[in-house]
Amino acid sequence: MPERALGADRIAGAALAVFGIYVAWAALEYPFGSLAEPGPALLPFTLAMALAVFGAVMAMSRHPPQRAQHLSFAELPHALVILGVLAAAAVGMERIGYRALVLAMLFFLLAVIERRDVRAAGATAAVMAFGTFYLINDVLRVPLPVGPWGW
Amino acid sequence: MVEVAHNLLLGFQVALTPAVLGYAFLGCVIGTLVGMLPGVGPLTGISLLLPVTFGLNPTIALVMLAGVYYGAMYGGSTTSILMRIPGEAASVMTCVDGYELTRQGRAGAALAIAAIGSFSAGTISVIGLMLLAPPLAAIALKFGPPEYAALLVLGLLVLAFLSGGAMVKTLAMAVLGLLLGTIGIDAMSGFMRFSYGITELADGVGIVPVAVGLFGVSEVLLSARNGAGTRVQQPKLRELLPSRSELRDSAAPIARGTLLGFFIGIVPGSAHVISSFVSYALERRLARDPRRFGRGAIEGVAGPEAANNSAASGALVPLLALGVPSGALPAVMLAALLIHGVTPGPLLIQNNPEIFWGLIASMYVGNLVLLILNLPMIGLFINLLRIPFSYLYPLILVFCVLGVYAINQSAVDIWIMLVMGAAGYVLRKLDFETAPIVLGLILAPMLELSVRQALAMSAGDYAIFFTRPIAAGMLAIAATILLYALWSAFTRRALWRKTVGLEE
Repeated sequence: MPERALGADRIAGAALAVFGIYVAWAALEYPFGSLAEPGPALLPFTLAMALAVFGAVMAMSRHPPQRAQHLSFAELPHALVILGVLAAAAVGMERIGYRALVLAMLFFLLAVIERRDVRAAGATAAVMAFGTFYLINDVLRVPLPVGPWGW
Repeated sequence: MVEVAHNLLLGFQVALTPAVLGYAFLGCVIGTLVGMLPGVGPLTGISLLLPVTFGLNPTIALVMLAGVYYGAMYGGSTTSILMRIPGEAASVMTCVDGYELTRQGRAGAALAIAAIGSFSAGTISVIGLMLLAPPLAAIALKFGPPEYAALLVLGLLVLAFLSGGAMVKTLAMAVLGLLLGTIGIDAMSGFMRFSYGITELADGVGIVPVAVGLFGVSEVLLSARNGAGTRVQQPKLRELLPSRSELRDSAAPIARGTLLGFFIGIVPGSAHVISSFVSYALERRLARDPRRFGRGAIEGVAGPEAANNSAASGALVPLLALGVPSGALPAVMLAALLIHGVTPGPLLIQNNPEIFWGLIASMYVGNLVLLILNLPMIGLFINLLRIPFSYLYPLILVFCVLGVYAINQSAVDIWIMLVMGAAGYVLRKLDFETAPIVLGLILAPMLELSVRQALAMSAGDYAIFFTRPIAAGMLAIAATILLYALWSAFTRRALWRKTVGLEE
């Protein structure tokens, strides 16, 4: 029954449709206005409904689907680690300062995740952390955060 | 014509003095370096250098800032091609095929075509600026909110129509981008939309965090598979240059991108950022085999690069001819002119011919400097690819974090980049194009504001879109495209059903 196989496009379409309906519902919180004088809700509501319609069209498409189980997610564990590192960067940037953050982030990725030589990883992390800080903060005068210990 | 030639000669006499030449060179070098850093684009570069020019004479100051402007436009393409990190919105389309060419060992060719395309577009569009500035600026002034709204609607439809993938998927991604663009304070009513208490979202979702997440971070996530992450590219010297067929294939896209970019660039507002998107879509539509696009088509680098550089010149038309800046960058250039006591507008050419023509001539010189500077540096840039991927991707992540944070000094932008990176990872797995999301994000605030301003102008009467000739013309074209696309989709579907035997 290839016509009814659970395709990746159908799952994505259904997800977009649900997301569209949720956003349309969330947009109702704002004044709608009228067609002559649109309020802040009109455009997001219209767009969200359009997204829901496009999602539904994809979900109900009768074209031969790309089977979801054919998609490979072999890199997912590594990708999740990288996303975790980025989340730590977002949390830590203004708490520990740019230089300490880049030092820790690069050292972790190079020495722990990629199992590179510890000295090379440390040296790369230090050069990048202090070098880019000097370039952006001191030369280009774009302020970067400094940690509680002054660097 | 003789007068133009005479004036241009005057300009070259100014531009070719050692001091001006030196500052043009310096501006191009700084601009290229600044453009390569994501988040520190031409706007930041010019804003940072503006105080440095206070002590210089007006001509030298403007020439240097124009060099930064052009240099940054070109520099943005380098990280797009080598690392899939767009420094700014204009470089987004260069990522798509530029990075694929890098993966195929053709990074040198892609960088060279980007340099040649930028040079050609920059040089040709300056001729347009020189000859057509006054009449074109007068037309640009006729663009009010209704015309602008019609142009944006037309732009969106053209892009959906010209897209190579499934139209419904492209439209869904464009709508998703438009929805993202509605986040933040509503400019007309002051309501804060979808911000969930995050005050940093008041100004909306930034383009750079979204673009860097969807392109740069998602690429790192997709390449992060164990084993695949150890590749090292070692291109040979002859591989750095484009082949004869690549040069031939790029010529027409560069010419089309130049024309397209220039005319989109003169439209007031920030429409010039869509020039590279429109150029890419046009090239894909005109290609003999559109399936090559997204898999390393050199035309996908040549057209958008020419378009975004040409649009940079086009954006100077209303500024120089009327004193009306057509976006944030020309606005900073306007500030630079005013600081140096030069008032741009119709009288600029009469009162300060040496500045106007000196600037024009220095643009020719600046484009040549960029070409001379960047072609030999391709070998240097390519060396980045010799870094083992296990070292390269952590460095790319640092630059992504640094670039998006530096724009607003806000950690919220890093979160946006992270979410967009994860979304880009999933969407690319599912064969969705992510560029329409960026385009939608750019267009949403402009579209909403112009539609509502137009309605405010007409006291809520939608007839304003159909009674003004320019707006009506553009909407008529948009309607024709929509009907043609629907007809085309309907007939293709009927053909498919016949092929699989669902219909006799």
